[in-house]
Amino acid sequence: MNDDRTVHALRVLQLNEARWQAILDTAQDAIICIDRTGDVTLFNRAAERIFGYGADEVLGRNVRMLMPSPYQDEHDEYLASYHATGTPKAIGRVREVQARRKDGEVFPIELSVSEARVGDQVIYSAFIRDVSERRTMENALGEARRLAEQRERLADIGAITARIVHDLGNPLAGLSMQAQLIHRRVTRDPERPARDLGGAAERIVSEVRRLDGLVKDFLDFARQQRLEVRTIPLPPFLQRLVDLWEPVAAARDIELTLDVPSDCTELTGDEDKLRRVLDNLVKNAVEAIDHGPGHVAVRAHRADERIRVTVSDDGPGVPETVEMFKLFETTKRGGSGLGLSISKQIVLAHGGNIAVERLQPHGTAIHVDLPTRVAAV
Amino acid sequence: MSRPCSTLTVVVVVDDASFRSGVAANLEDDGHVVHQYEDPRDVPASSLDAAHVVISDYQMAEIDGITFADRVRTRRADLNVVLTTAYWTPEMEAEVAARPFLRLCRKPVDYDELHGLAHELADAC
Repeated sequence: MNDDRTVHALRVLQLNEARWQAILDTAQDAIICIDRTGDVTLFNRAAERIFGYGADEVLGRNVRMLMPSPYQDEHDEYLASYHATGTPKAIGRVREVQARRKDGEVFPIELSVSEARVGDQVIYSAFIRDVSERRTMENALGEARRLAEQRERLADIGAITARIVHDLGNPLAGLSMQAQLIHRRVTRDPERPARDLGGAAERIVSEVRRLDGLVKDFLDFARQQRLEVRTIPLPPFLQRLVDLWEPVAAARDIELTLDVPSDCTELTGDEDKLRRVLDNLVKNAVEAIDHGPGHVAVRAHRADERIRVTVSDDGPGVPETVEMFKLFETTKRGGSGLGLSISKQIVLAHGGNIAVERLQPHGTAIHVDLPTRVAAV
Repeated sequence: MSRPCSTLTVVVVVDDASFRSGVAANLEDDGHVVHQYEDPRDVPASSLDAAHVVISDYQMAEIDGITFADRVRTRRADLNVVLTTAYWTPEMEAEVAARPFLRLCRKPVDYDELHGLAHELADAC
């Protein structure tokens, strides 16, 4: 009977051994067991494949041989510290560290360590995944992304440079041609009446103004928006805006209306900059209609702690493909494409938002959302 | 087409008013006949038919200069075009070089250079 039990127990043990061996042999990850001193007691096939050592070269030797510095130098200390304090550093979590193959190559691994105790014996089992391929792919992907971003930045810089050169070059070319006209006329006939030169001189002055405006616009766009915040009584602020544009609109047969509900009393912000934003929006709205009959509406609306000012027009509208707030995007002949970009910067600096709504059947509404209280910047 | 020795009929198509009027006035001062247009789409066929040379801009709001020049050539296969530009790249130069009837003139333009180029291209037509 006792013999039967022993035989049965042996079979169970053999079965368990076979089962574990099959698992160890087929595992894709390296499984390495060490004893209390760090000597290797188990080294599965995946470990052989990953590290390049045969099990017989590793078993009984210290696991430090599989580690590069500084892990190699510190491992004994880790074990000693753990045995003394019971505070684990590696056990129970997955860490990404480095290992060393037989050929000396250092490679990244994901390491998780478990601990098993039988009596006073302790076994540490390390499950090791070689992540060098994944890391190589991640690095390649990161590099490709970095290059793509660099290319995009360079393309942006190229586009901005092209635009600046074009926008500044055109008035400069006009100015130069008018100056050459005056010079040639005066050279050809020093007695030439001044009235023959007046038109060219006038155009030179106008081109200089245009250049000056462009330079200011570029500067405005480039510099950080610093706000001089104060309380702005909203109804008179918007009324002045409408009063400014009313004659221009009327001359084009465009009705310009203002609607400010009684709860929209005031907001805080930089009055000059907000005026510039709304001035730009009304100007765009009037120019979108060009010639009436048409209608431009300026409306204020309060929602909680925000004021929305909407400028809408019933002009032809803006195509879906046009990104209105994108730098240099414009649908206007001769437009710099800076106005709405600058407006957006100003509104964002106030902690607000600006958005476009395409109206049906046609027309455009620009919504400017501003907090009623803005911190000074 | 036949023409008197040094008097040219020039079609100037530039969307920048100051540059366009400056070029036109200088050419007129030199005795040339100038027809000027802001928008390439407004240029009548009759103007092209009468022209010895066209001066235009590489980058215009409605139609770019290359497209316009191709249209000019569709109308008049012997008419040459000067394209002025404030910004140029090797790609642009290659695009122009691929069309023997085109010349690129960089802004700000020296009038005497432009005038000489207009004569050269008119003589070639």
